[in-house]
Amino acid sequence: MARQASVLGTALSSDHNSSAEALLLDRLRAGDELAFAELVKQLQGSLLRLARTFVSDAGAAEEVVQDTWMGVVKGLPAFEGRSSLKTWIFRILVNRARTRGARDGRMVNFSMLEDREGGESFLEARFSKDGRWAHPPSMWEEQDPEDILLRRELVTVMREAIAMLPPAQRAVVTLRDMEGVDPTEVCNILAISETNQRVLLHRARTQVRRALEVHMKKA
Amino acid sequence: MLKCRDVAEQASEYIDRELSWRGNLAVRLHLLMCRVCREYVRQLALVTRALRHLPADDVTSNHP
Repeated sequence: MARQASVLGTALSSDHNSSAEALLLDRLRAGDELAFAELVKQLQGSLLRLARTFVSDAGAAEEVVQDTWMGVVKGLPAFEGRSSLKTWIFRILVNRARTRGARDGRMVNFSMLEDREGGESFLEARFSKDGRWAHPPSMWEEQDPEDILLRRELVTVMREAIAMLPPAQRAVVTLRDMEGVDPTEVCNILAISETNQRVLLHRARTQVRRALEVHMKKA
Repeated sequence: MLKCRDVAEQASEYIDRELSWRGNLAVRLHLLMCRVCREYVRQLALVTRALRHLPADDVTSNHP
């Protein structure tokens, strides 16, 4: 159930030194429309998903993504390749989405101090005072990601759990785990500290695991 | 000696290999002895890997 691979997909790794990305950049800078169309096709879903973290509805997310692509076209000649192309595009999106979110009165706070929802309170309840498990996790039969991903209801549970996350956790888990962006670049894109990023990611994963656990117990 | 709670808190860093050499060793030692933590960390790692391949169709649609 891996995402569809393409030549472009290979070029869009986090490794910004790859020769495939250099080649892609050359094509984009030369105004190769086909390359640009492929780039849009490859990243559109990811950008929409990330934009949705910052703005209140799907329509606004689409506008932010369109705006981002305009920014990409405008900025390409000046892009120095200090980050990967994908990271650079994500950063443009986040800046625009934040501006749009603020305009719509939706501020996403990335300070972990302001983002206390999530894993911690759940973990509190699971341990006794001496730090041992008071309510141990139930055992899962699932061994491989496919054991989860091939079951439609579990995929739905995961999606819903992600949608319910506080925005900062959702943005971090989207970038780190779903898009495979490395930690330093995530900090860069979202302008957050490494500690903050780590805490938000752990809380997000904890919540998704928890949602699956609750569902499996019911089933 | 790490408590189960410490391991649960550091589980993501352990999975991502972001702990120091010493921190990593401490978690490994605990996991050797604690079946419950082993299962918890295994589940969190499984979820992390599943997230990587969650079909892109799409978390955005859950909140219309």
